Amino acid sequence: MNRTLARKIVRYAVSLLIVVLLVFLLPRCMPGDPVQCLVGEDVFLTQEILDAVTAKLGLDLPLTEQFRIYIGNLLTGDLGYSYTRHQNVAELILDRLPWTLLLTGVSMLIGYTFGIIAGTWTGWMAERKMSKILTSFGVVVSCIPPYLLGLIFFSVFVYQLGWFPYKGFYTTPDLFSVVYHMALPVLTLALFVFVRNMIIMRGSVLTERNQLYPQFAKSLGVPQRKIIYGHVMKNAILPILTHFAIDFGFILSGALFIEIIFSLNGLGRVMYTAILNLDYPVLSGLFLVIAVMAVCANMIADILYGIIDPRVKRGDGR
Amino acid sequence: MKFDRRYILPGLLILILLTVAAVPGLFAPYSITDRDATYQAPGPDHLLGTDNMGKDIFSLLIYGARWTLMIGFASGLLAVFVGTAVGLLAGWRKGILDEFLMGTTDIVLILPKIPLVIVLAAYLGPGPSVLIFVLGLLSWESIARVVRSKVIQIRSAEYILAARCLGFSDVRIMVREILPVVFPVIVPKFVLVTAAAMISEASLAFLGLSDPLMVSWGGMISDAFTYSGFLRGMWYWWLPPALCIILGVLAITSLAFIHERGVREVVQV
Amino acid sequence: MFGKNTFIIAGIIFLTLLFTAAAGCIGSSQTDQNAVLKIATPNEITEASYFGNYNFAQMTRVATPPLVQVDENGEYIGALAKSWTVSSDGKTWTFTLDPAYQWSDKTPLTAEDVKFSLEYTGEKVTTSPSWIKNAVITTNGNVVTIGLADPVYRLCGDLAAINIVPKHIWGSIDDPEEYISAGPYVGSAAYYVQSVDINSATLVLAANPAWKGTDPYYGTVEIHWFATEDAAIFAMLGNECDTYWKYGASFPTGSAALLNSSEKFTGVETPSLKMSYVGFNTISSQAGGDKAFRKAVAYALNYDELVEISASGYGMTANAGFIPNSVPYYKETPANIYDLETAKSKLDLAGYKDVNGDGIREDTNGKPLTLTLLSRDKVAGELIKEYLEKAGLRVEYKFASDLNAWIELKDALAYDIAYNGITPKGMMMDSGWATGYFASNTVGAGKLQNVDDPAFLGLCSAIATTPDGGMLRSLISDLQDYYAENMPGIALYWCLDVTPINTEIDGWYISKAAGILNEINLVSVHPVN
Repeated sequence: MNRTLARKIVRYAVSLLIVVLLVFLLPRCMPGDPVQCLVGEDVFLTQEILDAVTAKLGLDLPLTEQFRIYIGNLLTGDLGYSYTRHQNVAELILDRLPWTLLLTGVSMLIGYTFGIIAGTWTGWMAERKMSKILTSFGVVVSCIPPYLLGLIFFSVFVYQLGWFPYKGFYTTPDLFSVVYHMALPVLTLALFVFVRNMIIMRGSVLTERNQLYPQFAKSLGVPQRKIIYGHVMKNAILPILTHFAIDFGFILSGALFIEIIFSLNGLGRVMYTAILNLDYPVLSGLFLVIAVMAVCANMIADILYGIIDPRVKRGDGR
Repeated sequence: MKFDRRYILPGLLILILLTVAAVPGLFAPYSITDRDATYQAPGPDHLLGTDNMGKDIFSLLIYGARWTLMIGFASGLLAVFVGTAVGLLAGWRKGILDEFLMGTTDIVLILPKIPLVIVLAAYLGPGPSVLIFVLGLLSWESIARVVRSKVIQIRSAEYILAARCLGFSDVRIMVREILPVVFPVIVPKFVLVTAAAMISEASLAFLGLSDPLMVSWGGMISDAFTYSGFLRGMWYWWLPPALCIILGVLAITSLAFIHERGVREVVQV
Repeated sequence: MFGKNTFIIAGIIFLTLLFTAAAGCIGSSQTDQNAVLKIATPNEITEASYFGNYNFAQMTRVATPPLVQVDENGEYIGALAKSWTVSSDGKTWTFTLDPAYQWSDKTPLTAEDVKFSLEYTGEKVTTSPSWIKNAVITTNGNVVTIGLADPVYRLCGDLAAINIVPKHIWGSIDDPEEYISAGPYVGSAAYYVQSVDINSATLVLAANPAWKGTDPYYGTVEIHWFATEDAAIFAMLGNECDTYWKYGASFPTGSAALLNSSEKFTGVETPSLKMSYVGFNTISSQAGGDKAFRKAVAYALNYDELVEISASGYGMTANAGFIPNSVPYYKETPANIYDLETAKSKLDLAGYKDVNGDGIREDTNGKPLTLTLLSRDKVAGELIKEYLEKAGLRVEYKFASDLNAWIELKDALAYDIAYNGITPKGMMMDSGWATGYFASNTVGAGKLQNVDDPAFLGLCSAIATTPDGGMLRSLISDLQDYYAENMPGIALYWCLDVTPINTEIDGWYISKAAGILNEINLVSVHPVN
């Protein structure tokens, strides 16, 4: 048990280190002027500012020394400065993060809940026609690039039918307006989360169904509903947890496209603008934050896994 | 083993796509440099109309298969190569090496892929090789895992032990004896990586991070969006490549699913 | 029978009716507080920083106007300044303020505010022009005098980009580029910025109660921004917004056909300062440095098709004199003509013959010739490649997929021919009249800097130090002759701007620099009765 724990901690630490190293080395190893890469392209700058950046980051110092300064900055929460936006990268990300988390959080909540329920049902009732239709629907949706579905939804539900607003998180900052504006983006993103989880859950339930205990419970007279949603679902949910961490990155990138299409000013839009302006400080900072969030998601999944599955606690799980 | 009829439809579809990608000149009525009047609606001369430069959209669709499949399969192959190598090594040589390789695998699994691809493409500049490398080098972890567990499973099998006793080199045993056994578990993973890479390419093209000179399905959708095909309601410009991506990915993933299910059924019997 | 009086009365009634109707048509001078004008734009305000965000600064020109602005013909007219004079040595500029402009918090606007704003911008804004730091600014009543250390003749161009802001507000703000506020911001024109919200992507301009000029019709003007151009256009076509605006740019010409097919909108075409051209590497390329070669290539380019495809039909074929006909001091020069046979015979004459008979021309020494074509525009690059190949030249096409790659290639002069675009602002940068794109003694991301001919550089510096008038006219005439005679670049087409006009609204005024988002337009627009 302790060994597993130690191994996990080492892995998380190393992945964090790799992310930090990547962000540090990329602008410095790129062809061209590192100052330009750290400041961003298409920025009007005076020589004084360029000199100030060089001095602050110590770009004339040896790499090890630069790395020390960089780590020092990171530890004080300094992710760099965007000269295109005249803003602190950390403040910028902190400002936009809650909106993106709201979008992804609600989508995940809806997607996971319905995905798990639907997956359990389609897995248990795999022979039914409805189940087959639902499964095929899920497979087809999961083969569509997220941005394409977003575009189609935008043109149909917003432009043609006029059911949803064109842009923004709200018109007036109140709950009703936010719900109205977020409805379509959340539904689009939730659809992807839903089909992914449904497919994983279905496969997992199919495996569980063939085990002995459900039949045993059935012979004891436990109601079918209780067997499925009580016992089978609880056991079959483990692969979902493993996938949760991997999904996290996927959902965040899905949010990126959704935010562009529905003009929502979250982290995805920040990233898109940074790509267009080649605003490297923002790109690096965003990647760092997203990667750290992904590592955290993995840790949470690990902990949850341990709580739900006693086999892991006993130490005989992988 | 009986031939599974469920393979026919997706298999046929992939075969068609591959043929088209291999010799697009045979199927396309025009070359990708031929031009006619711009923004034409579908008609007898141009099955799917023409784009903003007056190029035949149907021909572009045919030529687009090449790059899209190329990026998909090349990333898949790269992932298989790295994944198999890591899995074989880790499974064969337990101990520190296994620990190290599996640790690396976990780390690759943790890194958020699309954001990493975006950052790398933004720094390195868009291009097909960057796409293939990044997509391929970030997708091998699941392959490494299945290969490793399979290797551990058969490592102590008698015929392997026999080969070892006979003094065959490790490399020879791996290539001759283990690889053929591992192969069936790699195939579905390979096609899944391929499918994911095709979707990623389309997404990156939308962000302007794919090579714009390359005729790919994702690039066509992105062009339709850039040159107001979407606004003009030219569904015959962006929908066919979209359908091609969806169908291609669908065919490839269903092959994987059928294969996996087949394996499972065989194992259970 | 009707008496004479009857006719007089009838006449009076008729005239009264006519006047009432006319008054109705002109629009009431009263502001309708509930009326809202909604403008859709793809120009996103990424952070609510009045000085730090470029798009926000463009939009707020209508709330805190600069001293001068650009009119519908591209000439400078007064904004905050009612009139101005310049001394003959170009060093002393005197501006008289227009009393109509008053701060929306009822504080009077004074010459001190102007002095403050210029100095504040010079000190705290990174992109401010260099002359401010050495200028001596004095005030006297409602007159501001700018004394320059060195003569600057094109001062208005810089002044039109400096917003005049209230001293009593900004005086206490130390770092304006980083200062973020959701508003309201005190303004001086017909409107002031009431609020800006980056979550709802809306900027609200409210009528300024202290404004002493003509009252606008709309009580509120809202600017809504969208993440993509398509979303903005969809919002306009879907009646979510009344019109579309993009800073310094035309409505996307590829989508202009949509305007003509819609009932509510129509597209107005105006000549633009924008154009596109191919520049030759006259410095280090053998063929590019050969005048005869360049002139031959000028016949190989299919100008009509470039307009048709690259500009979606919204452009005019250009002349050898390069600069567009809407630029001041333009003069007639021979038109650029596409004639493949002439191009081929001129290439033959210049010594670029196909010696070995493989269908591809060799250079003047009979050695294989490969031209490197550089472009960052996918469509134009591909077309030009095709034209050059048709003339029998071998082309290696280098596509710069992003700004990084472009800067690297063009700064290294790693091309023989390069496709490039000229922006309205770029047309007048450095010495003006597009010279900034050619002169090798300047630097910039969008410039080719491909001419180091002393004659050309001399002409540029002469233009920079000559005030408006007959002297300048003759210099610009010489410049156009230089362009036509030496062809360091070939103008492909002069752009036409398309502005979507909502036919349910009247009184549109389109500024050459700012499009419909200008003070004059906001005061003049009103619904059609």
